[in-house]
Amino acid sequence: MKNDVRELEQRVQEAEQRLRKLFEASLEGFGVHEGGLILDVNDTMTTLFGYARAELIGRGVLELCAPEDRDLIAAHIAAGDDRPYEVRAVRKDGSTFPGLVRGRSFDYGGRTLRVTAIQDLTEARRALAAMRAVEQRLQTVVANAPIVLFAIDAAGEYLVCEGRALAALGIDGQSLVGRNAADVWRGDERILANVRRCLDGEEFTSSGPLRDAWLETHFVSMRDGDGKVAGAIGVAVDMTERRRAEEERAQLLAQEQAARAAAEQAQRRSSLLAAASRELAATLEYEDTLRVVPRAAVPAMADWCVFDVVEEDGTVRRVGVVHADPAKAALAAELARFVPDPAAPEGVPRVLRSGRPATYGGLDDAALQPDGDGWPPIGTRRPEHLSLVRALGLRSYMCVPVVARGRTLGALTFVSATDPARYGADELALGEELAHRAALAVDSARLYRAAQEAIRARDEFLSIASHELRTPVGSLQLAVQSLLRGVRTGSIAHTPRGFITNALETMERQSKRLVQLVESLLDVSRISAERLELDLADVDLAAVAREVADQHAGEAVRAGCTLEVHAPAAAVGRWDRARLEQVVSNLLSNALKYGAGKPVRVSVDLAGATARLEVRDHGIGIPAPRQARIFERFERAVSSAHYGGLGLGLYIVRRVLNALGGSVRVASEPGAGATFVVELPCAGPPAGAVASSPGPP
Amino acid sequence: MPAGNRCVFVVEDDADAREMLSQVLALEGYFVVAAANGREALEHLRRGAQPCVILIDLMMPVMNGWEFRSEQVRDPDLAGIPLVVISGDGGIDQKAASVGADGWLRKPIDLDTLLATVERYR
Repeated sequence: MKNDVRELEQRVQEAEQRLRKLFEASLEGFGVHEGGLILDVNDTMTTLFGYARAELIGRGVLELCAPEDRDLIAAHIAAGDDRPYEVRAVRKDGSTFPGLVRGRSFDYGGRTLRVTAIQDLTEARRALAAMRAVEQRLQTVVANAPIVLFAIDAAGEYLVCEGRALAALGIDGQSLVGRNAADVWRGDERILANVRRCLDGEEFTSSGPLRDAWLETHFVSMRDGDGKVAGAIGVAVDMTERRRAEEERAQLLAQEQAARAAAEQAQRRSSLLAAASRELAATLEYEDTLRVVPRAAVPAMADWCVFDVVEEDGTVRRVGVVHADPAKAALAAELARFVPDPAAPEGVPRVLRSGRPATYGGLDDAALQPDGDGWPPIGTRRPEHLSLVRALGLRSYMCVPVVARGRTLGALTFVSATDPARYGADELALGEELAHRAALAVDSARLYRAAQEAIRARDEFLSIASHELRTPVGSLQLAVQSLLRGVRTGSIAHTPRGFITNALETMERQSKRLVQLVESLLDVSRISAERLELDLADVDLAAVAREVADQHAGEAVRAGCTLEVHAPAAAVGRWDRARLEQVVSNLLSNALKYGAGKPVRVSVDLAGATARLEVRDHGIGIPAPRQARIFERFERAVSSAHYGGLGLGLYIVRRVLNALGGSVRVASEPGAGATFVVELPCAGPPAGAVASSPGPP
Repeated sequence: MPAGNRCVFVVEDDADAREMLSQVLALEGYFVVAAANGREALEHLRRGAQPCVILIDLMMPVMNGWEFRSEQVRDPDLAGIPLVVISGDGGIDQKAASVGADGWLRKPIDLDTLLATVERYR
């Protein structure tokens, strides 16, 4: 029994020790008190409060807390409340710490004891505060960053949606939390596809529009411990501004590139035109100018270029074909043999007719085939011409008129052998500019040529006039000097009478010749200045013809001509007698000069209200090409090396007859003589034409 | 009257000029053969006339002075006959040189100059 008691006591003691060790090992401070007085404490309690165990035992529990918390503690003790609560604990040194207190009352052999545990919350509080600060900062960052931060769970439900970028999108992030992305973005396939991709575990970046903004969103999957996708986080950055800036930059870049291209085009134009102007200015010779024109366009504006010029007589001449490819130069030269067909509805003939440019594109060899009665879209339908064009290559072309002083001088054709749409508005403008310069150069070259010809004609005229004036003066001078010599030496007494008479008659004739020459020169001056004054009266052309023929009788004898006048009836009209005499005299002089040794016949008749005068010789005649020109100033039918004369007679005839409302024409064959036919209206010149000279000078 | 060849050819298409030249030379004792153009002159020469000098205008119908000269120099019998060009044109010296003439007289011809020139070839 006694052993049992001892054994029991030993067991109790061992149990008590185990409990004590547990009590002491606890991280919380433990104390047992009765009626508010401390009975026992563990080591943690002594450490927490800074008292020795002995100092705490017997001390009131309320002393260990701040006075303001004592009622709370007392109430818990009184009520036996075992819910935890916080107090401010006071250490022995007076310092305090937050403590979490939990007490439980229990019955100990009829006594009500209370065990109280206290935990120092200082560290926990600090950690919590630190965590809150971090959370606050994160919140601030997320709320202010120009982003949207969102998280969705595996089912697609929004867990978080924050960020300043939401405001720009007009989205209330909080309202999304708890909603499913599939509902929120119903209809927006791009976003729904992104949600599916990230919930499939893909990490990626997607950019695209959302409302008025442009978002770039990086998606990352969230995984649980097993590696399964538990949801996804997305960070969307608002790229709207950046994208706008990029777009603006791209736009600026495009504008700058366009401006640069335009500047380059302008540079190309001006250097091409400058080069063309330089080349065109380098010569005033007509043929050289014509050759320069198409060269200026190749290769900058065309693979090959053709210049067709309208000559002053209206014929079209192909003056230059230039090809960029030297291998095709021979073919190009071949093309110069063909002139455009004036009947062609398109191409050069059309441009020459209208004076307006034309462009053609999308052409191929099929379009350049002979087409029966139809016309291909170029200025010819001759098979050999078309075949040559096909061989040179033609996919598109433009044809621009060369116009100066309102006259179309020709057409420039620019051809691309490869590009079916080479000639747009820019090229056309450049082509027209080049044609304009070419026109000025061609016009200048023509004027220069005309001036050169006028100068040549004038020089020749001066030389002839000098000759014509010196011949009678020469005869006059010889006659005078011869007589003077006879008088001075006294030999005149023995000089045959016939010589003296002859000399004096020669002097008289030469004086008259000189007066006539001077009159002719003055007439030309008057007629050229359009100051031909007419003294109109009733004049019989038949009588005038007879009288003038009589005056030329001596000349006819000297020329070895028989002079026949056939004027049986009067032919009276309102004319200027002196001028009419001049007309007949000039025609007769020519007939005697060029028909020397052969008969000359003058006839006058009347056909209704028109009088007709014919002067016919059987002399050297006039070649057909010269017949149109003999009525021009300083012109003559034959070389001045053979026949003298001022070359003014027929010019004066034409102008006088024009002024009288009449006309003159010639029929002649070389070697078979010439017949000049004058027709004059008996009514005289048309009203208003008197005292001035109608018709071209 | 001194001796020597006193035959002179006057080739001139202007009848008055031809006549006047012929008459003043005849008055001075020359034997003058007048021709209205080169062809006539050539015909006279080929018929045997042998002038001491030929006075010739260049601008004439039928056969002008240049054409005459080239015919003349081609014929060895005629090539040696002196030729004097008469002309009223400017540049007579060049024209005379162009036909290889021995001299030239510019219209209007001074009588003394004419006689002195012809005298040289007598």
